[in-house]
Amino acid sequence: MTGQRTTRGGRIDRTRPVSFTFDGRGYQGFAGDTLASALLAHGVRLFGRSFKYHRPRGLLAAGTEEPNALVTVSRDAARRTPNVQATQVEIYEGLVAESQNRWPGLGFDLNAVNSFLSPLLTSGFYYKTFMWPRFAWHRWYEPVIRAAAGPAHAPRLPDPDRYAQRFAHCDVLVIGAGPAGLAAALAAAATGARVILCDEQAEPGGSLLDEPAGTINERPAALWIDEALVKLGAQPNVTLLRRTTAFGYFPHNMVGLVECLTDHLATPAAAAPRERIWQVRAREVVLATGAIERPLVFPGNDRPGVMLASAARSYLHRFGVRVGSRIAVLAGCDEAYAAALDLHEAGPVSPSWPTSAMRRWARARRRHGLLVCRSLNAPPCWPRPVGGESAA
Amino acid sequence: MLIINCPYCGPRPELEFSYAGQAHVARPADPSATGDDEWTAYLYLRTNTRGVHAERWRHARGCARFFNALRDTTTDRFRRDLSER
Ligand SMILES: [Zn+2]
Repeated sequence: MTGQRTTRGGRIDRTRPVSFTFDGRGYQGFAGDTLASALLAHGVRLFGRSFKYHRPRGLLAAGTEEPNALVTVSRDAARRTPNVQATQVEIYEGLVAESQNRWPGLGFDLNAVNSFLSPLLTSGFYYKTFMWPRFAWHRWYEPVIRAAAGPAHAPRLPDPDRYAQRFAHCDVLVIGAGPAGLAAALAAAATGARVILCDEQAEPGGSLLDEPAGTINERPAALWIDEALVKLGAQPNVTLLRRTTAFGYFPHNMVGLVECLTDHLATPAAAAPRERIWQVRAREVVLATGAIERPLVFPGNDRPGVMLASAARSYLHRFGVRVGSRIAVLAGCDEAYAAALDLHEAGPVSPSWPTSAMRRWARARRRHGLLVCRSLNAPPCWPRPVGGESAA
Repeated sequence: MLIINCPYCGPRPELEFSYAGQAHVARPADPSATGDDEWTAYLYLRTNTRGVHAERWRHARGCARFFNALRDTTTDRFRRDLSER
C-alpha cells in the first residue's frame, strides 16, 4: 500500500502548502491535511511499532478510532505531547512530529527481534518475569526493558501553557456535527432554544465530509453543510464549538467538553490558553456521535497496509489521498462496496472478496468492471501482505 | 454534579449545597433518661436506604436554610415537588 495524492478532490487547499517534519525528515502537505493524510500522500506506510513486540504498524483508520499511529508532537522541550493519534493532528507550518516505540529508528528496530522470540513472550507475558537473578533486575533488565516498553516519553519540564475553563447552560447540547447533529441543531435553534453544538473535528460535517456524492434534501452534501453552517451562524442562540470533544456525561445532564484552542496553530499567541474545559448543563442532550466501522479479524490484520474501508474512503474524499495503487477490498458490508467503487474510480484495479451477496452492489461493480474473488468461507489462512501492495 | 431544588430559591447546582443526613431522626426528649442503646441509635444508626430516601439538605452557599428532600439513591433523582420547607 503506497498512498498518493490525487490531482483534484478532497477538502484540502492545494494552493496552501504546509511544511512539517516527521522523524527529522521534511514533508509537505496542504492546509486541511492531518499528519496521517499528509504522510500517507507521500507513501509513508510505517507510523510506529507495537507496544510489546515492536511489530510494524501503519494506519488503520482516518479518525479518532485510530489505534496504531501514535506520535509525539513537540513545539519545544517543555511542549511535547506524546501519544497523539496522527489522524487527529492538524498539520501547521513547522510542525515537528516523531514516531514512538522504536530504537534506534523506525525502519530498523532492534526490538523487533521480540517478534522472533514471540513464542516465548506470550501475550500475557509480564516483564517482571525477568527477575532472576534478583540483582540483575535493577542493573540490567529494568533499564533496557523500560526503554523498550514505554510507548513515549513525557516532557521533563513544567507545562508552560495556560488552560481555561468555563461553565455554560443551554437548552439543547448537540454532540457531533455530522448530518444528524447539524439537523438536530437546526431544528432546535429554529424553536429559539439556546443550543450548543460541538464536534471534535476542525470542520463540521462528520461523515458527510467523506461522502461528496451524497445528497440531503436533494442538495449536494458539501453545499448542505455550508448552508447549515450559515443558518446556524446567523442565530445568536447557537454556539458552535469546533475541535471540541465531549469526554464525560455526568448526572442531571452535566457534560464535560474539552476545546482545543491552539494545537493546530503555527504560532499561537503567547497569552492564549491552549485548551478550555466546558462544564455544560443542558436541559436536553442529543448524542449524534456517528458510528465507526468494526474491523475484521484475521491473522496479520495489524500489518501496515491493512485499513478500514471507511478510512480509505475518508482519505480519498476528504483529503484527496488514494491509499494505494493496487487495493484489495474485503467486503463484509455496504461500506466496503462503496469504497471499492470509489477507489476504483480514482485509479485502476480493485479486486474484491465479498463475503456476503449484495445484488445492488454486485450490479454496480459489474458495471464498473471490478474483479471479484468469491469465497463464502473466509480463507483458512489469510494471504500474508507482501511488499508494498496489500489489502485495504 | 446534581441539580438540587431548594424550596426557597429553586433549582441550583450541587456545589451550593451541603448534605445534612437522614431526615426525621428525632432527638430523644430526655437524653439523661435515655439508655445507651437508644442514644447510640440516635447518634449513629441510619437506614442506608436503597431507593427513595428522605434526607436533609442545606443550601449552604445560597439562602443557608435547611429543607427536606426525597432522593432515589439508585438514580440520584429527586422527587422535586416533594421538597418541603
Ligand atoms: Zn435556597
